[in-house]
Amino acid sequence: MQTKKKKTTSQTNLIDLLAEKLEPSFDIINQKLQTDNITVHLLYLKTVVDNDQIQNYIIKPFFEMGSIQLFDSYIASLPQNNKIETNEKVLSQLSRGSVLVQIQEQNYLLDLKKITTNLVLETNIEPSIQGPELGLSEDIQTNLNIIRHRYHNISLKIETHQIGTSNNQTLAILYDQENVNDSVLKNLQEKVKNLKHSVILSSSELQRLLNDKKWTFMPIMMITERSDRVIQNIAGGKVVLILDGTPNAIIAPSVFFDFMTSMDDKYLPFGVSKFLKVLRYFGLFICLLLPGVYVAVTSYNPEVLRSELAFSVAGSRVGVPFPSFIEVLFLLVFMELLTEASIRLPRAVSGTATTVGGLILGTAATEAALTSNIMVIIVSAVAIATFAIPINEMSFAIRIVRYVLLFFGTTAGITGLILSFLAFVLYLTNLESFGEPYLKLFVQRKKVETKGVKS
Amino acid sequence: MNKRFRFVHFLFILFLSISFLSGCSFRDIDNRAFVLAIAVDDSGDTKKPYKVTIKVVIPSGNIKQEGVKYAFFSEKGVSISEALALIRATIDKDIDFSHTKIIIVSKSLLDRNLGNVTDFFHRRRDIQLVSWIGIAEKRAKDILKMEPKSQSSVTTPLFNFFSRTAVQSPYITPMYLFDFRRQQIETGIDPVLPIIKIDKKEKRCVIHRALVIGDGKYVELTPQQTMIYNILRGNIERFNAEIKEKNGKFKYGVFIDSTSIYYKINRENSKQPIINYKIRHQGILEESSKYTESNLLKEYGKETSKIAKKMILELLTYFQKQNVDPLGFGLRYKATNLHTGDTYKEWESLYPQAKFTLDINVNIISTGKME
Repeated sequence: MQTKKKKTTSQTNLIDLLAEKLEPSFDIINQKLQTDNITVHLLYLKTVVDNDQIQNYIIKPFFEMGSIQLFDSYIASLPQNNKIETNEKVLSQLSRGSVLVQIQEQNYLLDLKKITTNLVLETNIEPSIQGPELGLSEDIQTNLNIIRHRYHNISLKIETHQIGTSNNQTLAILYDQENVNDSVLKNLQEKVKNLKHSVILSSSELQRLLNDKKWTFMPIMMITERSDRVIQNIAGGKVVLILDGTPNAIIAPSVFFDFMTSMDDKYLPFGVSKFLKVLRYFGLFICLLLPGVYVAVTSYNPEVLRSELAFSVAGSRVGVPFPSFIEVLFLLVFMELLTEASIRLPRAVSGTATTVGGLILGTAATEAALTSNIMVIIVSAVAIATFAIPINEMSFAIRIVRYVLLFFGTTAGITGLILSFLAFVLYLTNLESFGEPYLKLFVQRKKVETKGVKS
Repeated sequence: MNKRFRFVHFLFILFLSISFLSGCSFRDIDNRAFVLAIAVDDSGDTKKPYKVTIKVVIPSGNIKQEGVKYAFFSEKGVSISEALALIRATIDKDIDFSHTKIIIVSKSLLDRNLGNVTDFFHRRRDIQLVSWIGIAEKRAKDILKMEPKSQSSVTTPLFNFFSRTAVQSPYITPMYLFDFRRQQIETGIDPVLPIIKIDKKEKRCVIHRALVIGDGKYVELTPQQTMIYNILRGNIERFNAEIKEKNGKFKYGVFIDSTSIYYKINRENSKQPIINYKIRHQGILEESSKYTESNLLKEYGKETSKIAKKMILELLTYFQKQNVDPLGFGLRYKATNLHTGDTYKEWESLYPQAKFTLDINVNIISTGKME
């Protein structure tokens, strides 16, 4: 009896203790429900809980039910009921939208949060022609719901972690237990546990923090907004991280060729998707090499061009005051500015910016003999080719690497270009993404690869 | 911190030093004077025997409307390189040979026996070995300067004659610079160069003869011999042949569109080798002065074969008599016989005795008419 009394006091203390801890906040509600003989205490933060649900699940039944035993067992059987562990956990749960209910000596924690960000967004970074049009939402529950609904397999495991020492954001790690690469999974789990950052806001930031090297160009984890890509990669044995509050998922490990696949490759007919793939790689090489090739060929090795082309390039450069590499740099930088501007500008204005920048600037620059018209063609070809790379991070990386190639093309002609390209390939070969070689081709044992590592 | 500072220093110095480096071979395309063709003439001067003329393209900003303009520069010199060095001083751009496609040497220069005239072109890195070499009947400079009526190509008009992308004629004997060098050095084969003549009145090039450059002697071929040589050499597969009646009147013409030629040197008689030619032609009747009948096609073929056999044998024995070997029998002999130390000398004594046999079959498949 005595022990029970002690417990009761400690529990009555719990609600006061917590209320005290939460105290200066304006939105804390410490409520007492009372009929003739029964008293129930409620503690919650009114800004994160759903008032309608409190009304429906707690207050209404309380006044309808006569006895406290009945109400107690009713509350205990609600599906929103969570286990109470330590005081800290309870506090953290309260801050996420739980309601602490005290009935006589018994405490219950009910998850009645209100979510305003569960709208599933349309895909706009990786649009596809025939795939699903909705991606992920900004709420983790909704995201996990979407994924569970598209991957009906009990081997899909979801682990949650709290990251960010200040904002305690929820991070879910998803994998298919049957297929997953254990070493990658362990590695990621450990890295997530060791994260010491105070605030982590977005998946791209998380991705950067998970990467050991500071100076990297090539992405080794993929960020995607497409739920179908997430499903495909889980089935392929990869690990997916979803952070609460961002509509993107992180897929690891990811190799170079993953970044060159679009989800449409899966949906379109075989021949068409192969053609598009070839086109995409062609675009990759154009965007990587063309500026360098232009400088190397016009300034060092004009003999590789056809005579007619060489003369027309020479003709178009008549009156251009800069050497070829300045000309290329000048236009490339303007093109980058244009791309950057059209991302940041409001959508209504960005169309105008592109037209003014692209068409008018290009024409005017040629008219004023600041650049040759062949140069304008090349830069626009490069700009278009950049957008043919399906994943944004890869296209950013390629955009940077091409300046390196341009530099070596400028200093040593075609030889420099070839050697620096070779160096780039060597760099890629040397890279690895969580133990997977970065330039790993999936052609040797394709069936095994898509089935996952374990089988 | 210190390490980082040093790294920034290193980058700074790297970029500074690189900006000084750029002078060496970085040269923009508009600062280059592209040479399209080189002509080497006999200057008439005994001390400075070479007169070199180059055709330089002047790029214009608007090729579609203005067309292409050319400039010509020439200088005399003790050697070709000296003449070119003198020209270099007269142009405000850097002379670039990377698009040189045509090299023309005048015939009179060959006659003066100056040694290897074309040596310069083989040694320079920037003159491509796939350029064509030809002989000018009179002055090479005139050929360079002439603008034919039909000119539309940006590069020199001769390019279209030799590259076979536009003109396909059995009379033209294109010769690459590298191939010329190879055949010149190799024993057992003599190079054949096209002879280019210009018709000033009509403003056109006439290239229908060829020159065999033998061992210290030159043998000029007539247009017909040039054609047969080109057929035998496999340079061309499609050609026309005219069959005449006994009194010289034109009877009918045959257009051959596929040819296969094969020969073998038979050494059964060690004193007198027999060169067996096996030739198969297939074609159609192209023109006829009389009504033709399709059931007589075989007879036409036989008649054509007979005449072709005679002409080919004539040419082969002509080469033999002149002791030149443009078809490379000697090379074939060297390649297919056991090496004995001086195989070629053996052949040199055998060649004048060699006998030719011809197995020729012309298959005419159609009269060219709907019947």
